[in-house]
Amino acid sequence: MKRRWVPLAVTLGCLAVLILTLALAGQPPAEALAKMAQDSFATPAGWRDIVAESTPLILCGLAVFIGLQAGLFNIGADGQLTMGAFAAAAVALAMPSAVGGFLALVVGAAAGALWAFPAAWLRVKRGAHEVISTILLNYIAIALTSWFVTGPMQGPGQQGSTTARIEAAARLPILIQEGPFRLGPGLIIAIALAAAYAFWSRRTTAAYELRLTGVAPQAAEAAGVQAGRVKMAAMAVSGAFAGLAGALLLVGQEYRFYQGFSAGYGFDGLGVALVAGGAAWAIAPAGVLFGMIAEGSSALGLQGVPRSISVILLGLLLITAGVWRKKA
Amino acid sequence: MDFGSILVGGAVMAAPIILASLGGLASERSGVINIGLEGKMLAAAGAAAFTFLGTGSLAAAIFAALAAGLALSLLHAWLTQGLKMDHIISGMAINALALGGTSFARQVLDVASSGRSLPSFDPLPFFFAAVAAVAVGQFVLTRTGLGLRLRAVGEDPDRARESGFKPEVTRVWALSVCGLLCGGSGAFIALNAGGFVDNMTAGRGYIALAALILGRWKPIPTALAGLAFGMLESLQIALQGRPIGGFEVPSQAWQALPYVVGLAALAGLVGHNKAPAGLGRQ
Repeated sequence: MKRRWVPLAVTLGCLAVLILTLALAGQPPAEALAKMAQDSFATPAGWRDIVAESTPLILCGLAVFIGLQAGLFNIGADGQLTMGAFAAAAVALAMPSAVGGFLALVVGAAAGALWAFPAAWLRVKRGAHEVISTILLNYIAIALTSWFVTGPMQGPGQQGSTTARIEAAARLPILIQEGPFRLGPGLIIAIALAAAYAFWSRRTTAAYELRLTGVAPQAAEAAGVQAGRVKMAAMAVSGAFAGLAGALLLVGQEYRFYQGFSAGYGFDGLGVALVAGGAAWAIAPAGVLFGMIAEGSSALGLQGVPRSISVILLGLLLITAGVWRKKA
Repeated sequence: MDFGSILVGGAVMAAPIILASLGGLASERSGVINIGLEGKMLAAAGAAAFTFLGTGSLAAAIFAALAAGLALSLLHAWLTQGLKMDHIISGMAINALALGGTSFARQVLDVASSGRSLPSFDPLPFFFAAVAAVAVGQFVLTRTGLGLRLRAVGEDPDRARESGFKPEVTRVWALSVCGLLCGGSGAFIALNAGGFVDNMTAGRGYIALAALILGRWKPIPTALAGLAFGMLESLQIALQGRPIGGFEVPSQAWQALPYVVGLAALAGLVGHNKAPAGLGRQ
């Protein structure tokens, strides 16, 4: 087989595995997929959920993408999102007003940046691989926030591990409400940031230095770029986007912080960034694609297919994207 | 609080971490970055539990766990060596496939309805098996031609190629060993827990990787780091709910302890990064 046909063959193989998995769940694949498409993509409620899912996915995809540009794997977007949402909840609960809601977004992004920074610092100053440190930071974020929501910040009268709900004044407004369909500013902010990043990365010297640092750190140093600084800055910005994803989820949708807040958005973010390949403009469409996958697997769940099929699909998409990436 | 039982508990907790970190060592000394330890362990844990609940045979369960670890490792080898895929992306793909696949299998197979339960067994021999594996690993790595070839391929694949070695072939073997060790590790986790729950490895594959880094990619220091993580885990279980100096320490603080210690240890590495030079290279 010619080398250039390999990525296509792998893609088709992954598709075959997915169809086989559906069949194993006892569903005729064609019917199950048709019903899934009907429920998810042809109803206002389906699109409401796709919008809701896409927002954090685009931002986490952007977070991972920026890290990759600097040659860093930010596997810790999940922890950064968790810390961002948690910090946003603390601010919005303390300041139940529109200003508080806005501040929650800013503080959430800052919390994400702070949670990502140690990993970049360890990499640059100590040579410790960021993959392992960001993963360790994920577990620490989960333990830390779960202590707060079962202890000092547990909502009054709450049985579960959750904070109180934030006041309506601190919540993001709903822009469009048509039956079950709902659109808040979250998705617009996410798409605008992805577009702004794509524009920035084509037009500025800083973006060139970022890519040079990622591709050839020594050449970057030789050309006068402080590669270590660029890496640390990129990781902080990456964490800020993941933190903002958490903050937007909190003030735009969930309105409270609870144990197990991130539904694996950070890991899906890796998928989003890889499916986008090297193209910044493709992050938003890839995020929406993953949103559709999330909604589609919920719809399949209602048909009796285990929802974990979406995690299998993430694995298959990582393989597919990884094969094409090598060829690009 | 019984000091002896904490030590024994720590040895039992350490066994799967040591086995997996040794698997990671085989893989990384040959040049393959292995983020996929977690997934291989989880798949093996699932295979062991489901097979036992399905057949009632302990031997079949252990065989299935080894086969699952090996199968994922061979997939990993094909992706990184055959298709030349990025090592971190392929490792994360392995983890996702294992996490989704085991959860999916648990629901589809509906093993809980078999009415069987996993046998209780003495876990301590597993620890001694892990210690023996470390001794064998140390011997093979430092005293045999096989170990020399592994290190040569991992340090400088191009020069190894010029010397007539085939890095890809060596790495397939190294990853196979890694898969079997992760298989044993996962089987132990499932048997020791008496069943399978989703994501039951709970990050121990990553802790094994941290042990490997802290052990500077050498078998004995790596095993000692793994043992330290096991002891920490045992200690945190023993300390749960005990006030220290009249202060009620939250259980989450103890749960976070191994991860915080791991991070602090990484921070203390000061210029001692002794990663194989060819790590991640083709």
